[in-house]
Amino acid sequence: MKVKTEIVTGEKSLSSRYVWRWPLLINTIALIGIIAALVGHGWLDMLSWLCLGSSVALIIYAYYFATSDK
Amino acid sequence: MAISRNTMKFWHATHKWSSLICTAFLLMLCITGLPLIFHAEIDELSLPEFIDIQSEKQASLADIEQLARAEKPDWPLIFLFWDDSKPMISAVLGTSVSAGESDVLIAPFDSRTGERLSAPAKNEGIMAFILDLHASMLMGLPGTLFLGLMGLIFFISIISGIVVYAPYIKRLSFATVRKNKDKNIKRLDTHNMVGIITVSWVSIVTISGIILTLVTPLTAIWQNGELAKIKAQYENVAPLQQYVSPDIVLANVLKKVPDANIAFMSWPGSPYATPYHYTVGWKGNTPLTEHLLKVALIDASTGEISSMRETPWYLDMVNISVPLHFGDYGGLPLKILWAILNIMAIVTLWTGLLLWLKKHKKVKVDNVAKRPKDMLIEGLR
Repeated sequence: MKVKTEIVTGEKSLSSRYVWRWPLLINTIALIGIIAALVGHGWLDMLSWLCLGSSVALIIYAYYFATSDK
Repeated sequence: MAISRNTMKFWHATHKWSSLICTAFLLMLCITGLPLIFHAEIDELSLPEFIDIQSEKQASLADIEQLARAEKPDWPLIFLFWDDSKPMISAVLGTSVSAGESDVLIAPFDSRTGERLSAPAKNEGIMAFILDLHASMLMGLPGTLFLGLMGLIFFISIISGIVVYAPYIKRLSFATVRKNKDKNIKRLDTHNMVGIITVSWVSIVTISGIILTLVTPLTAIWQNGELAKIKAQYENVAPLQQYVSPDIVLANVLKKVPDANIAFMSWPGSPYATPYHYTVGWKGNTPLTEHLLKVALIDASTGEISSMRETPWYLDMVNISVPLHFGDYGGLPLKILWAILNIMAIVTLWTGLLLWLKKHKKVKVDNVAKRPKDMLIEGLR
Protein backbone atom coordinates (compact mmCIF):
# COMPACT_ATOMS: atom_id res chain seq x y z
CA MET A 1 0.00 0.00 0.00
CA LYS A 2 1.50 3.28 -1.01
CA VAL A 3 0.00 6.48 0.22
CA LYS A 4 1.49 9.70 -0.98
CA THR A 5 2.11 11.88 2.00
CA GLU A 6 3.87 14.88 0.62
CA ILE A 7 2.37 18.26 1.28
CA VAL A 8 0.40 19.46 -1.66
CA THR A 9 1.40 23.00 -2.42
CA GLY A 10 -0.68 25.76 -3.87
CA GLU A 11 -3.48 27.81 -2.43
CA LYS A 12 -6.07 26.73 -4.94
CA SER A 13 -8.55 24.40 -3.44
CA LEU A 14 -8.40 20.96 -4.88
CA SER A 15 -11.47 19.27 -6.18
CA SER A 16 -13.64 17.37 -3.77
CA ARG A 17 -12.89 14.25 -5.76
CA TYR A 18 -9.31 14.54 -4.61
CA VAL A 19 -10.38 15.10 -1.00
CA TRP A 20 -12.79 12.21 -0.80
CA ARG A 21 -11.42 9.44 -2.99
CA TRP A 22 -9.21 7.81 -0.33
CA PRO A 23 -11.69 8.15 2.56
CA LEU A 24 -14.45 6.82 0.30
CA LEU A 25 -12.37 3.85 -0.80
CA ILE A 26 -11.19 2.80 2.65
CA ASN A 27 -14.64 3.25 4.20
CA THR A 28 -16.34 1.30 1.43
CA ILE A 29 -13.89 -1.54 2.08
CA ALA A 30 -14.61 -1.33 5.82
CA LEU A 31 -18.38 -1.45 5.21
CA ILE A 32 -17.98 -4.49 2.97
CA GLY A 33 -16.06 -6.04 5.86
CA ILE A 34 -18.77 -5.23 8.38
CA ILE A 35 -21.52 -6.69 6.18
CA ALA A 36 -19.62 -9.74 4.85
CA ALA A 37 -19.57 -11.71 8.11
CA LEU A 38 -23.22 -10.84 8.69
CA VAL A 39 -24.50 -12.46 5.50
CA GLY A 40 -22.32 -15.56 5.50
CA HIS A 41 -19.54 -17.51 7.10
CA GLY A 42 -16.42 -19.26 5.89
CA TRP A 43 -14.76 -17.20 3.16
CA LEU A 44 -17.06 -14.25 3.91
CA ASP A 45 -15.70 -14.20 7.49
CA MET A 46 -12.20 -14.07 6.06
CA LEU A 47 -13.17 -11.29 3.65
CA SER A 48 -14.52 -9.41 6.65
CA TRP A 49 -11.22 -9.77 8.57
CA LEU A 50 -9.26 -8.68 5.53
CA CYS A 51 -11.41 -5.61 4.88
CA LEU A 52 -11.47 -4.34 8.47
CA GLY A 53 -7.84 -5.32 8.90
CA SER A 54 -6.92 -3.03 6.01
CA SER A 55 -8.29 -0.04 7.95
CA VAL A 56 -6.13 -0.94 10.93
CA ALA A 57 -3.10 -1.58 8.71
CA LEU A 58 -3.53 1.82 7.04
CA ILE A 59 -3.65 3.59 10.41
CA ILE A 60 -0.49 1.83 11.59
CA TYR A 61 1.25 2.64 8.31
CA ALA A 62 0.20 6.30 8.35
CA TYR A 63 1.21 6.78 11.99
CA TYR A 64 4.47 4.89 12.15
CA PHE A 65 5.87 4.40 8.67
CA ALA A 66 4.69 7.06 6.26
CA THR A 67 7.15 9.89 5.91
CA SER A 68 5.97 13.43 6.10
CA ASP A 69 8.51 15.89 4.79
CA LYS A 70 7.18 18.89 6.65
CA MET B 1 -19.31 23.45 -4.61
CA ALA B 2 -17.75 25.90 -2.28
CA ILE B 3 -18.94 26.13 1.28
CA SER B 4 -19.02 29.64 2.62
CA ARG B 5 -16.88 30.73 5.53
CA ASN B 6 -19.87 31.18 7.79
CA THR B 7 -21.24 27.77 6.99
CA MET B 8 -17.88 26.25 7.85
CA LYS B 9 -17.82 28.20 11.11
CA PHE B 10 -21.18 26.68 11.95
CA TRP B 11 -19.89 23.16 11.29
CA HIS B 12 -16.76 23.78 13.37
CA ALA B 13 -18.90 25.00 16.26
CA THR B 14 -21.24 22.02 15.84
CA HIS B 15 -18.28 19.63 15.93
CA LYS B 16 -16.83 21.30 18.99
CA TRP B 17 -20.00 21.48 21.07
CA SER B 18 -21.48 18.12 20.15
CA SER B 19 -18.13 16.50 20.97
CA LEU B 20 -17.76 18.34 24.27
CA ILE B 21 -21.18 17.19 25.43
CA CYS B 22 -20.69 13.50 24.70
CA THR B 23 -16.94 12.78 24.91
CA ALA B 24 -16.86 11.78 28.59
CA PHE B 25 -19.76 9.34 28.08
CA LEU B 26 -18.27 7.99 24.87
CA LEU B 27 -14.96 7.32 26.61
CA MET B 28 -16.86 5.41 29.30
CA LEU B 29 -18.73 3.45 26.60
CA CYS B 30 -15.53 2.58 24.73
CA ILE B 31 -13.72 1.42 27.86
CA THR B 32 -16.59 -0.67 29.23
CA GLY B 33 -17.36 -1.91 25.72
CA LEU B 34 -13.90 -3.40 25.28
CA PRO B 35 -14.38 -6.40 27.65
CA LEU B 36 -17.97 -6.81 26.42
CA ILE B 37 -16.69 -7.70 22.92
CA PHE B 38 -15.19 -10.81 24.49
CA HIS B 39 -18.11 -11.57 26.83
CA ALA B 40 -18.54 -15.09 25.44
CA GLU B 41 -14.89 -15.96 26.05
CA ILE B 42 -14.95 -14.42 29.53
CA ASP B 43 -18.31 -16.03 30.44
CA GLU B 44 -16.85 -19.36 29.42
CA LEU B 45 -14.36 -19.15 32.28
CA SER B 46 -17.15 -19.18 34.83
CA LEU B 47 -19.44 -21.66 33.10
CA PRO B 48 -19.57 -25.29 34.16
CA GLU B 49 -17.75 -27.86 32.05
CA PHE B 50 -20.16 -29.49 29.67
CA ILE B 51 -19.61 -33.04 28.59
CA ASP B 52 -18.66 -32.66 24.97
CA ILE B 53 -21.20 -34.96 23.41
CA GLN B 54 -23.38 -34.05 20.50
CA SER B 55 -26.43 -35.25 22.32
CA GLU B 56 -29.74 -34.34 20.75
CA LYS B 57 -31.55 -35.25 23.92
CA GLN B 58 -34.00 -32.67 25.15
CA ALA B 59 -34.72 -32.41 28.85
CA SER B 60 -38.34 -32.12 29.90
CA LEU B 61 -39.26 -28.45 30.21
CA ALA B 62 -42.00 -29.39 32.66
CA ASP B 63 -39.34 -30.93 34.92
CA ILE B 64 -37.20 -27.80 34.64
CA GLU B 65 -40.23 -25.69 35.50
CA GLN B 66 -40.92 -27.85 38.55
CA LEU B 67 -37.33 -27.77 39.78
CA ALA B 68 -37.08 -24.00 39.28
CA ARG B 69 -40.39 -23.39 41.03
CA ALA B 70 -39.26 -25.45 44.01
CA GLU B 71 -36.46 -22.94 44.63
CA LYS B 72 -38.88 -20.05 45.07
CA PRO B 73 -42.31 -21.55 45.80
CA ASP B 74 -44.11 -18.20 45.80
CA TRP B 75 -42.53 -16.81 42.66
CA PRO B 76 -44.05 -17.28 39.21
CA LEU B 77 -41.97 -18.56 36.29
CA ILE B 78 -41.68 -15.75 33.73
CA PHE B 79 -39.75 -17.38 30.90
CA LEU B 80 -37.07 -19.87 29.90
CA PHE B 81 -34.16 -18.86 27.69
CA TRP B 82 -31.78 -21.04 25.72
CA ASP B 83 -28.04 -20.32 25.66
CA ASP B 84 -26.56 -19.46 22.23
CA SER B 85 -23.59 -21.74 22.41
CA LYS B 86 -23.99 -24.05 25.39
CA PRO B 87 -26.54 -26.80 26.02
CA MET B 88 -28.11 -24.70 28.73
CA ILE B 89 -31.61 -23.47 29.52
CA SER B 90 -32.12 -20.81 32.18
CA ALA B 91 -35.36 -20.36 34.05
CA VAL B 92 -36.28 -16.84 35.10
CA LEU B 93 -38.53 -16.50 38.15
CA GLY B 94 -39.62 -13.21 39.64
CA THR B 95 -41.41 -11.75 42.62
CA SER B 96 -44.15 -11.07 40.06
CA VAL B 97 -44.46 -11.76 36.31
CA SER B 98 -43.45 -8.18 35.55
CA ALA B 99 -40.58 -8.08 38.06
CA GLY B 100 -37.59 -5.89 37.19
CA GLU B 101 -34.11 -7.27 36.73
CA SER B 102 -33.21 -6.90 40.40
CA ASP B 103 -36.17 -8.97 41.58
CA VAL B 104 -35.60 -12.12 39.55
CA LEU B 105 -33.86 -15.43 40.02
CA ILE B 106 -32.08 -16.88 37.01
CA ALA B 107 -31.61 -20.63 37.41
CA PRO B 108 -29.53 -22.45 34.76
CA PHE B 109 -30.19 -26.08 33.77
CA ASP B 110 -28.51 -28.58 31.47
CA SER B 111 -30.77 -28.62 28.41
CA ARG B 112 -30.15 -32.34 27.79
CA THR B 113 -30.45 -33.83 31.28
CA GLY B 114 -32.51 -31.16 33.04
CA GLU B 115 -29.94 -31.11 35.81
CA ARG B 116 -29.64 -27.89 37.83
CA LEU B 117 -26.25 -26.30 37.10
CA SER B 118 -24.29 -24.35 39.64
CA ALA B 119 -23.20 -21.70 37.13
CA PRO B 120 -23.33 -18.09 38.20
CA ALA B 121 -26.50 -16.47 36.96
CA LYS B 122 -26.45 -14.16 33.96
CA ASN B 123 -27.45 -11.17 36.04
CA GLU B 124 -24.59 -11.52 38.53
CA GLY B 125 -20.84 -11.14 38.39
CA ILE B 126 -18.39 -8.68 36.91
CA MET B 127 -19.53 -8.99 33.27
CA ALA B 128 -23.16 -8.31 34.19
CA PHE B 129 -21.96 -5.28 36.13
CA ILE B 130 -19.91 -3.98 33.18
CA LEU B 131 -22.86 -4.51 30.85
CA ASP B 132 -25.13 -2.64 33.24
CA LEU B 133 -22.61 0.19 33.40
CA HIS B 134 -22.26 0.23 29.61
CA ALA B 135 -25.99 0.08 28.89
CA SER B 136 -27.43 2.31 31.58
CA MET B 137 -24.70 3.61 33.93
CA LEU B 138 -26.53 1.52 36.60
CA MET B 139 -29.56 3.80 36.28
CA GLY B 140 -32.03 1.56 34.49
CA LEU B 141 -34.19 2.82 31.64
CA PRO B 142 -33.56 6.56 32.21
CA GLY B 143 -29.80 5.88 32.08
CA THR B 144 -30.21 3.86 28.88
CA LEU B 145 -32.27 6.54 27.16
CA PHE B 146 -29.78 9.19 28.26
CA LEU B 147 -26.95 7.19 26.70
CA GLY B 148 -29.05 6.91 23.54
CA LEU B 149 -29.24 10.69 23.46
CA MET B 150 -25.47 10.88 23.94
CA GLY B 151 -25.12 8.48 21.02
CA LEU B 152 -27.27 10.76 18.90
CA ILE B 153 -25.15 13.78 19.83
CA PHE B 154 -22.03 11.74 19.05
CA PHE B 155 -23.50 10.99 15.62
CA ILE B 156 -23.87 14.75 15.06
CA SER B 157 -20.22 15.06 16.06
CA ILE B 158 -19.29 12.39 13.47
CA ILE B 159 -21.22 14.13 10.66
CA SER B 160 -19.81 17.57 11.50
CA GLY B 161 -16.36 15.98 11.78
CA ILE B 162 -16.66 14.71 8.21
CA VAL B 163 -17.69 18.19 7.02
CA VAL B 164 -14.78 20.00 8.68
CA TYR B 165 -12.37 17.34 7.42
CA ALA B 166 -12.64 18.71 3.87
CA PRO B 167 -11.03 22.15 4.40
CA TYR B 168 -8.41 20.56 6.68
CA ILE B 169 -7.18 18.01 4.16
CA LYS B 170 -7.18 20.30 1.12
CA ARG B 171 -3.56 21.25 1.54
CA LEU B 172 -2.41 17.87 2.78
CA SER B 173 -2.26 14.41 1.35
CA PHE B 174 -4.57 11.76 2.70
CA ALA B 175 -3.50 10.30 6.05
CA THR B 176 -0.57 12.66 6.56
CA VAL B 177 0.76 12.77 10.10
CA ARG B 178 3.25 15.63 10.50
CA LYS B 179 5.57 14.29 13.15
CA ASN B 180 8.36 16.85 13.11
CA LYS B 181 6.23 19.82 13.94
CA ASP B 182 4.44 21.00 17.02
CA LYS B 183 2.81 18.30 19.20
CA ASN B 184 -0.59 19.81 18.53
CA ILE B 185 -0.19 19.51 14.77
CA LYS B 186 0.71 15.85 15.16
CA ARG B 187 -2.30 15.45 17.42
CA LEU B 188 -4.61 17.15 14.91
CA ASP B 189 -3.27 14.98 12.08
CA THR B 190 -3.70 11.83 14.17
CA HIS B 191 -7.26 12.83 15.14
CA ASN B 192 -8.21 13.46 11.52
CA MET B 193 -6.40 10.46 10.06
CA VAL B 194 -7.78 7.91 12.56
CA GLY B 195 -11.19 9.60 12.55
CA ILE B 196 -11.71 9.55 8.80
CA ILE B 197 -10.39 6.01 8.31
CA THR B 198 -12.65 4.55 11.02
CA VAL B 199 -15.71 6.71 10.34
CA SER B 200 -17.90 3.99 8.82
CA TRP B 201 -17.15 1.50 11.60
CA VAL B 202 -17.74 4.13 14.30
CA SER B 203 -21.01 5.15 12.63
CA ILE B 204 -22.28 1.57 12.46
CA VAL B 205 -21.48 0.92 16.14
CA THR B 206 -23.04 4.26 17.13
CA ILE B 207 -26.27 3.76 15.16
CA SER B 208 -26.70 0.16 16.36
CA GLY B 209 -26.00 1.37 19.91
CA ILE B 210 -28.67 4.06 19.65
CA ILE B 211 -31.15 1.46 18.36
CA LEU B 212 -30.30 -0.84 21.29
CA THR B 213 -31.11 1.90 23.79
CA LEU B 214 -34.65 1.79 22.39
CA VAL B 215 -35.26 -1.91 23.10
CA THR B 216 -37.66 -1.25 25.98
CA PRO B 217 -39.88 1.31 24.20
CA LEU B 218 -39.86 -0.73 20.97
CA THR B 219 -40.83 -3.89 22.86
CA ALA B 220 -43.60 -1.90 24.52
CA ILE B 221 -44.91 -0.93 21.07
CA TRP B 222 -45.12 -4.62 20.19
CA GLN B 223 -46.75 -5.48 23.53
CA ASN B 224 -49.32 -2.70 23.26
CA GLY B 225 -49.93 -3.32 19.56
CA GLU B 226 -49.88 -6.87 18.21
CA LEU B 227 -49.90 -8.59 21.58
CA ALA B 228 -52.68 -6.40 23.00
CA LYS B 229 -54.79 -7.04 19.88
CA ILE B 230 -54.63 -10.79 20.44
CA LYS B 231 -55.29 -10.36 24.14
CA ALA B 232 -58.41 -8.30 23.33
CA GLN B 233 -59.97 -11.25 21.46
CA TYR B 234 -60.14 -13.12 24.78
CA GLU B 235 -61.94 -10.42 26.71
CA ASN B 236 -64.89 -12.59 27.66
CA VAL B 237 -63.01 -15.84 28.14
CA ALA B 238 -62.61 -17.18 31.66
CA PRO B 239 -59.02 -17.35 32.93
CA LEU B 240 -57.30 -20.69 32.38
CA GLN B 241 -57.08 -23.02 35.36
CA GLN B 242 -54.31 -25.07 33.88
CA TYR B 243 -51.75 -24.69 31.11
CA VAL B 244 -50.76 -27.31 28.64
CA SER B 245 -47.28 -28.77 29.25
CA PRO B 246 -44.40 -26.65 27.85
CA ASP B 247 -43.03 -29.85 26.27
CA ILE B 248 -46.08 -30.09 24.02
CA VAL B 249 -45.65 -26.42 23.13
CA LEU B 250 -42.01 -26.98 22.18
CA ALA B 251 -42.83 -30.10 20.18
CA ASN B 252 -45.52 -28.28 18.20
CA VAL B 253 -43.20 -25.41 17.34
CA LEU B 254 -40.44 -27.80 16.24
CA LYS B 255 -42.95 -29.76 14.14
CA LYS B 256 -43.81 -26.59 12.27
CA VAL B 257 -40.27 -25.15 12.11
CA PRO B 258 -37.87 -28.11 12.33
CA ASP B 259 -34.66 -26.06 12.06
CA ALA B 260 -35.71 -23.48 14.66
CA ASN B 261 -32.99 -22.49 17.05
CA ILE B 262 -35.19 -21.93 20.12
CA ALA B 263 -34.28 -18.75 22.00
CA PHE B 264 -36.97 -18.38 24.64
CA MET B 265 -40.36 -19.54 25.88
CA SER B 266 -42.50 -17.06 27.76
CA TRP B 267 -45.13 -18.33 30.19
CA PRO B 268 -48.82 -17.42 29.96
CA GLY B 269 -49.53 -14.24 31.89
CA SER B 270 -46.01 -12.88 31.53
CA PRO B 271 -45.37 -9.54 29.78
CA TYR B 272 -44.22 -11.23 26.55
CA ALA B 273 -47.21 -13.54 26.31
CA THR B 274 -50.95 -13.29 27.01
CA PRO B 275 -52.91 -14.92 29.85
CA TYR B 276 -54.02 -17.50 27.25
CA HIS B 277 -50.82 -18.08 25.30
CA TYR B 278 -47.25 -19.14 25.61
CA THR B 279 -44.86 -17.16 23.40
CA VAL B 280 -41.97 -19.01 21.78
CA GLY B 281 -39.12 -17.16 20.08
CA TRP B 282 -36.46 -18.72 17.87
CA LYS B 283 -33.66 -17.79 15.54
CA GLY B 284 -32.93 -19.19 12.11
CA ASN B 285 -30.14 -21.54 11.19
CA THR B 286 -28.56 -19.71 8.27
CA PRO B 287 -26.09 -16.81 8.47
CA LEU B 288 -28.79 -14.46 7.20
CA THR B 289 -31.42 -15.51 9.73
CA GLU B 290 -29.34 -16.53 12.76
CA HIS B 291 -29.58 -13.03 14.25
CA LEU B 292 -33.27 -12.51 13.52
CA LEU B 293 -35.94 -13.58 15.95
CA LYS B 294 -39.27 -15.17 14.98
CA VAL B 295 -42.10 -15.40 17.41
CA ALA B 296 -45.21 -17.56 17.69
CA LEU B 297 -48.08 -17.49 20.16
CA ILE B 298 -49.21 -20.91 21.32
CA ASP B 299 -52.64 -21.52 22.78
CA ALA B 300 -52.04 -22.41 26.43
CA SER B 301 -55.06 -24.69 26.66
CA THR B 302 -54.46 -26.80 23.54
CA GLY B 303 -50.75 -26.33 22.76
CA GLU B 304 -51.59 -25.46 19.15
CA ILE B 305 -49.85 -22.59 17.35
CA SER B 306 -52.43 -19.83 17.17
CA SER B 307 -50.42 -17.02 15.65
CA MET B 308 -47.13 -16.90 13.80
CA ARG B 309 -46.61 -13.56 12.17
CA GLU B 310 -43.71 -11.79 10.62
CA THR B 311 -41.64 -10.01 13.25
CA PRO B 312 -42.26 -6.26 13.00
CA TRP B 313 -39.44 -4.42 11.21
CA TYR B 314 -38.43 -2.44 14.30
CA LEU B 315 -37.75 -5.61 16.26
CA ASP B 316 -35.74 -7.04 13.34
CA MET B 317 -33.75 -3.80 13.46
CA VAL B 318 -33.06 -4.31 17.16
CA ASN B 319 -31.98 -7.92 16.66
CA ILE B 320 -29.62 -7.11 13.81
CA SER B 321 -28.13 -4.29 15.89
CA VAL B 322 -26.87 -6.69 18.55
CA PRO B 323 -24.11 -8.34 16.46
CA LEU B 324 -23.33 -5.06 14.67
CA HIS B 325 -22.79 -3.37 18.02
CA PHE B 326 -20.77 -6.07 19.79
CA GLY B 327 -18.87 -7.48 16.79
CA ASP B 328 -19.47 -11.07 17.87
CA TYR B 329 -20.61 -12.45 14.52
CA GLY B 330 -17.45 -13.34 12.61
CA GLY B 331 -15.20 -15.37 14.83
CA LEU B 332 -12.40 -14.35 17.16
CA PRO B 333 -10.42 -12.39 14.50
CA LEU B 334 -13.41 -10.09 13.98
CA LYS B 335 -13.68 -9.55 17.73
CA ILE B 336 -10.00 -8.64 17.90
CA LEU B 337 -10.46 -6.17 15.03
CA TRP B 338 -13.53 -4.79 16.80
CA ALA B 339 -11.41 -4.25 19.91
CA ILE B 340 -8.62 -2.55 17.94
CA LEU B 341 -11.12 -0.27 16.20
CA ASN B 342 -12.64 0.48 19.60
CA ILE B 343 -9.19 1.56 20.82
CA MET B 344 -8.85 3.67 17.65
CA ALA B 345 -12.13 5.38 18.60
CA ILE B 346 -10.62 6.11 22.02
CA VAL B 347 -7.59 7.64 20.24
CA THR B 348 -9.88 9.91 18.20
CA LEU B 349 -11.88 10.94 21.27
CA TRP B 350 -8.79 11.51 23.38
CA THR B 351 -6.83 13.51 20.77
CA GLY B 352 -9.96 15.55 20.10
CA LEU B 353 -10.31 16.35 23.78
CA LEU B 354 -6.62 17.29 24.12
CA LEU B 355 -6.84 19.51 21.03
CA TRP B 356 -9.68 21.43 22.62
CA LEU B 357 -7.90 21.67 25.98
CA LYS B 358 -4.65 22.92 24.43
CA LYS B 359 -6.43 25.42 22.19
CA HIS B 360 -8.24 26.72 25.21
CA LYS B 361 -5.02 27.19 27.12
CA LYS B 362 -3.34 28.86 24.16
CA VAL B 363 -6.08 31.45 23.87
CA LYS B 364 -5.57 32.35 27.50
CA VAL B 365 -1.82 32.76 26.96
CA ASP B 366 -2.54 34.93 23.94
CA ASN B 367 -4.70 37.23 26.04
CA VAL B 368 -2.03 37.58 28.68
CA ALA B 369 0.57 38.16 26.00
CA LYS B 370 -1.14 41.39 25.05
CA ARG B 371 0.62 43.08 27.96
CA PRO B 372 3.85 44.67 26.68
CA LYS B 373 6.18 42.83 29.01
CA ASP B 374 4.74 39.49 28.06
CA MET B 375 4.87 40.46 24.42
CA LEU B 376 8.58 40.96 24.83
CA ILE B 377 8.97 37.56 26.41
CA GLU B 378 6.86 36.06 23.66
CA GLY B 379 9.10 37.76 21.14
CA LEU B 380 12.24 36.38 22.73
CA ARG B 381 11.04 32.84 22.45
